Amino acid sequence: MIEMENVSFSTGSTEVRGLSFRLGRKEKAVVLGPRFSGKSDLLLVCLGAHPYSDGTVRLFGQTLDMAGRGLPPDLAQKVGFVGKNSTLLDNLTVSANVGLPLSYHTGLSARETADKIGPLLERFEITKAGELFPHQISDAEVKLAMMARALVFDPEILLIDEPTNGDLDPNSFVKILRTMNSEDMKDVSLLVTTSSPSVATMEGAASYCMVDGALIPRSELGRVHNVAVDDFMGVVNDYSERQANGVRPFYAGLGPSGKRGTT
Amino acid sequence: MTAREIDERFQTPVVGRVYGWAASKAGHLRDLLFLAADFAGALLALKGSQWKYTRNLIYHQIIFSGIDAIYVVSVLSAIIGGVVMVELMSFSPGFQTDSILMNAMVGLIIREIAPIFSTLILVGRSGSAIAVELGGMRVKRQDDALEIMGINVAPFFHMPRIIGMAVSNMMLNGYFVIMALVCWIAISSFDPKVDLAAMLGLLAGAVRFSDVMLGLFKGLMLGSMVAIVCIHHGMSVKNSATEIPQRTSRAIMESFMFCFVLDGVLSVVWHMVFA
Repeated sequence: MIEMENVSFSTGSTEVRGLSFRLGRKEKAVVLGPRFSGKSDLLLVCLGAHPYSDGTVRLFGQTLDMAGRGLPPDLAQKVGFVGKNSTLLDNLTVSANVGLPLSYHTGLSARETADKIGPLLERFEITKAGELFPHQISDAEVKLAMMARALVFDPEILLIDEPTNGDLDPNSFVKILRTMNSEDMKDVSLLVTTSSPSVATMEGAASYCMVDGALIPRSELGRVHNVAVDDFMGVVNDYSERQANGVRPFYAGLGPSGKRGTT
Repeated sequence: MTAREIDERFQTPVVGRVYGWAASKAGHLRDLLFLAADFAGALLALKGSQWKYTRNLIYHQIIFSGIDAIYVVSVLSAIIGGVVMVELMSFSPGFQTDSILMNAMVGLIIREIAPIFSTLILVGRSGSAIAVELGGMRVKRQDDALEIMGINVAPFFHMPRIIGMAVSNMMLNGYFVIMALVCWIAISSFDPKVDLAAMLGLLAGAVRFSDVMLGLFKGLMLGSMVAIVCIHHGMSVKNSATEIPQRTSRAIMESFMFCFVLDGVLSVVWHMVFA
């Protein structure tokens, strides 16, 4: 469904080169990497919304234009995208935002659109937020609304950029991860980018690391000898080890004075 | 040839700077024309379902730019109509029988004052709002998100605003004229020396169809121009929220300048063709 062969592109601060990647039907993949490593632009390249200089990107067998002028309309409805920051339109309610692609492309009335998206809002547990505006709901609900909007045409592929980005409380964090792993998503190919090691352990997903302009399968990281990779993986492994040993995250140890506790 | 090469050739920095300034202004004008062409192309390519959605956005824009501005236009047009009448009464006590003066004043209100003032109100109310709103959308990358969903921003963001502003400005222009003349008549009715029947007769004769058409056409063109300039500056915001006020300020000043230039050009062309 998504095939990249020796693709190179620039993010402004990082040069990504020789990137090869494949995501098949109903497959899931997570790309873990530090900030500004080019993860977001990787997703945009897959969507034909960011230019690439070398190689080939194919989506559903169609080669995408190197100039990054967007997807042809027939492909656009087969792919859902959830951005890092809120891209809900501020002047529309949450339900109008979720139903926007539907009403725009099909010409359904507001009533018909509301009927269609009702089950979707229910599935993402944001029915109550439906009548509110984006600034009136939490970051987690914004993320869930964006996921609902991305799934409004039942796309075959869903691309999610930093699903846990933003000010999320632990419940919301878990809720978003649970939604991505839910039974409803089993028929959708999922490509997720994240800088959170917790998200990178998503069940049944192939795991990659994007460091220093390269995309490396996590299983092959031991073979790569590179200062940037070693540094990043050192931090990730330390985090994972603390989690495995039941050590509370560092912020849990902060006392009322703001000084770190014994944990 | 670059500005630096021109400077070296003419041995003075002035020519190169003037050339650089002119080239940048020409490039900016070209961008505005491309935006207008993009709008026209999007209008032609709009499908039925998309048109239905865009139509609702146009209605909303007309309500915001036209209907909501009626209060401000009422006050301003009443003041201007009243001031013109007071000036006329003091300048020429027998003006109600002077057809040349009456024709000149009515023509001035319909052809020049109403289009310019309604456009200035439009710039201050809706033009600035459009630049700020679109700038904010650019910073949040909401336009990119729409493109990824297969929603072309030209019909979604640009078209409702351009059509809505053009129609609103035309309506406000007509309303401005009516209010100014009504206020004119109301004030003159308080003066016992004014022969109201004679003045109404002259006034009816002074309102010429060609002047009304020019006024409405100017409203349409100036409204579209303001929308295009403000959309261009709003969509030119790149990454930072600090660019929004800068771009908004430029959008307003440029709209004011283009308003007077375009009004003058249309008046001259109209005069050459129809006078």
